[in-house]
Amino acid sequence: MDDKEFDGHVKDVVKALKRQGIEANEEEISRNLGRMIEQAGEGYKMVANSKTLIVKGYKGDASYLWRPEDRLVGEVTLDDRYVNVMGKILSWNEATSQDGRKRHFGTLMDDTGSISFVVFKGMETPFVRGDGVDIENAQVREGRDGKPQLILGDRSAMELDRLNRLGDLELPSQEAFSGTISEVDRELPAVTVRGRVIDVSDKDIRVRGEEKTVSVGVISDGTGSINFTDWEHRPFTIGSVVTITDAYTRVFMGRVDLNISERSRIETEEDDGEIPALEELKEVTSVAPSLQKLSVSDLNGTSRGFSLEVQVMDRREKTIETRNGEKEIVSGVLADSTGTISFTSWGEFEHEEGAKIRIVDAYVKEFNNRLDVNLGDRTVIEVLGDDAVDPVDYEKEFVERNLTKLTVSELSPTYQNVDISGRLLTLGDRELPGGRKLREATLADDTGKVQVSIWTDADIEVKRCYRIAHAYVRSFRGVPQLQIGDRATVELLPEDSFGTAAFLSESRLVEIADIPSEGGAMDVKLHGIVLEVRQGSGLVDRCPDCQRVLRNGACMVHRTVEGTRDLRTKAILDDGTGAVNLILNRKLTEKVLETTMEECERLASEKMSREPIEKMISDTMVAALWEVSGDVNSDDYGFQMIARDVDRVHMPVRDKAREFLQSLSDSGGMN
Amino acid sequence: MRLRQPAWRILASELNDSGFEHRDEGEFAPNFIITPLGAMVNRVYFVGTLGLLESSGGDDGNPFYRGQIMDPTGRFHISCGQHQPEALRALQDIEVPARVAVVGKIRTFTLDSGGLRVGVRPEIIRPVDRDAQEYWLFDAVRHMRGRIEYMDEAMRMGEPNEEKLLAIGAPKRLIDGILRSVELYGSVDLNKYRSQMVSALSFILEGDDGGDGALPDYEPEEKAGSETELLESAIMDYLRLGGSGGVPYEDILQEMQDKKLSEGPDLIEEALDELRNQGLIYEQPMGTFHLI
Repeated sequence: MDDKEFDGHVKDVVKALKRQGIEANEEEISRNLGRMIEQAGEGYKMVANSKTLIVKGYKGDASYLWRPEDRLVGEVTLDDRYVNVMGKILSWNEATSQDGRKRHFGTLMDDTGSISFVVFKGMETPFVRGDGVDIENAQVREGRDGKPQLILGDRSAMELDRLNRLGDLELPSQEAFSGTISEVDRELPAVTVRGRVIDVSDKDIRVRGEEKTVSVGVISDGTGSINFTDWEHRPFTIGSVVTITDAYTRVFMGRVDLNISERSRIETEEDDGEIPALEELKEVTSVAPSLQKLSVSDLNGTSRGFSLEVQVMDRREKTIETRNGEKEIVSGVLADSTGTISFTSWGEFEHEEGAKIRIVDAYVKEFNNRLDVNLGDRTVIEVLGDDAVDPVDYEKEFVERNLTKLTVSELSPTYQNVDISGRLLTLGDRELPGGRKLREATLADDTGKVQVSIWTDADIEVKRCYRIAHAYVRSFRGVPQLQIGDRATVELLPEDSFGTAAFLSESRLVEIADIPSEGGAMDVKLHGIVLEVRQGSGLVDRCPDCQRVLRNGACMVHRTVEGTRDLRTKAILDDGTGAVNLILNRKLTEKVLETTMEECERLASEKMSREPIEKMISDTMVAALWEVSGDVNSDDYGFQMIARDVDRVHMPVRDKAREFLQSLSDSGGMN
Repeated sequence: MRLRQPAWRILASELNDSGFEHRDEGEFAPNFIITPLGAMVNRVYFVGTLGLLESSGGDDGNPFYRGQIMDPTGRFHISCGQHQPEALRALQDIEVPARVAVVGKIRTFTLDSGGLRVGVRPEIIRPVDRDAQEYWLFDAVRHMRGRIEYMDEAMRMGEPNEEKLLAIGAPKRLIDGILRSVELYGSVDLNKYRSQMVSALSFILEGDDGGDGALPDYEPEEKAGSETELLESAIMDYLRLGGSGGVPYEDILQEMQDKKLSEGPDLIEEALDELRNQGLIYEQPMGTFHLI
């Protein structure tokens, strides 16, 4: 950076401070800025940051730094922060953002070029094409096309140029563009095209809170096709040849759309045969991805950019975790006469079950060997008439198609149609309060165990191996339970399909990260460090009626009662992949402390405090490695395990370290 | 349901090498640092030797501790104030040096140079025995080896993605971080971390010789680092004398040179930046420093 440029930066800072009434020593600023630029670098952003920091260091407002520069339209570059420009409005449009606020956008031009602008502040009087305007203090940012764009915010101003200094400047004619459809490949303020209507339908949309019906469709002239929207909902006839004058185009998600507005004219013409026939065009357009009309059975894992006429058979909203946090999506099942397929809508999807719709421009994803139609940003949905689609027997199709093959450890209530195999370890009868009977069983595979409720008279015996299909999953006290209902099928498997009952009965050692967060797990073993023993551990008094722990001698429900003494531990156990709230009852706490509750009571009365007991638990457990077993249940507060057993793990760390070192040098990874 | 963030077992060097942060959208979304080996860390658990502990503040009744905890690969920087009452109480009772276990949340400071300084706000800190330290080291190395292997594979893939990583057996919990790391760091020097696994394992085996569980004799390994520490605490002391009017930069420079703590302005400015980043001092107007 040369001295002149550096001095310029110093002056910027001094001026910015002066404008806010802050007096500053120029030499001091020069010294500090020099130091910062030396450290941070001379890049444009680095310098800007350094200047901002200095202004802030004086408790100033950094926005004063960016004094607008006077620029001609063609001179504005991405290096500018704030500019004043003058020009003529080439186009002026209005849009309503999602929060209902109006904003305007358009293009400004002068003799040197044109630039797009967005106005975020409210405008009393809208401008019109041809107005000469003065823009002050507009921010410059990079537009979607990579070119500079003017942003008019609260501190910017846009006024009619009363002197009309650009009066002589002629705007490019609005009827400037006329050509074949394939040439319409960018945003144009005025377009004339001629082509054959190859598809059209009505679409209900909401514009600024009002219901409105528009016509959407496709026209083609043999060189290409273009989607159109007629905002005036004029009638189109499929197969007719039309000339559309004074429409405009917008590029949205890489696709050019033709917008037919109030001022556009549509003329239906004599079919002189110059434009290829309808069937031929359809053939051609089917190559163009946005128009390929497919049936459900045509879809495969790579299908994209097609249209589909289907009935919504099932829909449900759910919240999923994405990289960017939680997101509401809609998923469900679609059907036509050839089959059913699941779908996921990443945006709004307001169509209820039973609705018949045309989905234009969706794509298919394959997940766990299952196809899923994804409705994304560019997908358009049109409502069809009642007689449009004749769907297959949904219930039957869906059940077959969406069967998910899972292992026991993967079970969670997310799955409603499960294919699972394992050995029955236990089987018993139970009567529900209403007199209804069911059988309860434990099913195990190599990954874990699950409780099963059998609501049918399926032919099953304990200790045998089965494949169970079309079962569903419920969460019971935060632990998944497999449900065998009317839809389920049960098939006997060979005896050697799974390990012996004795082997499968052992609790499986799992990593906490592998436990489904909405599921929990039955009878598992965890190895982890106790990070923390929580308050309320040690000696407690419980309400004799409800077993709640008394606070200040009172039960939350039964008021003051004579408490029953108990000993317990609440701790956080963490295995490096996740954590559970661990609860140890009296017996297990005694085991950990290698003492009895009576002994603890004696100690507490000797010290006149229960705190030493809590401390004793904490000194014993924290930072040590423990093996715990039991059910892991999940609720709003995360995972919890009420342990069935607990043991200190004494790992021969040095032997293991020696083996590990050996394996590192064996694997030759140390070169 | 938001699950509690796991406490990563991670060696100091890998943690300190982190140059990127990530925060999910949403009001209470946790923030993570992304280590070169693709761990996305919000909470850590580690065991090491607390070799340096200094308290600052105090007069206003808001004690603040800063400390360094050493493992065989580097140092964890902890800082702890009134908002971590449990850890604060524990620190007040600890005599340096001490072998301690720490559970804490990651804190980051962006340096003026654009780099990231990683620190830990302890939730829990307590003295432990050598067994706990050895087990922690072993666990940290075990986890680290997995990350090294998957990073190695991911860096060899043309375009790594979730599917490919699942296919080579990478656990789901690591995949997001590995993909981010490959994207952010490009090529990572895995041999550096491989040799740190060896250092850590060798440290465990040294226990075989001593056997009595004596404290390892760690000197802070970066000389410049300890100079900076001295300098920082000297500056804090000097500013404390300065009173409410603040102290001009030139005076600090002079004083530190007089005390032979620094010969030139470079180290002093670095120390001032560091203290400012930690929220211990501020500069107002430019060139005049105050304690916060």
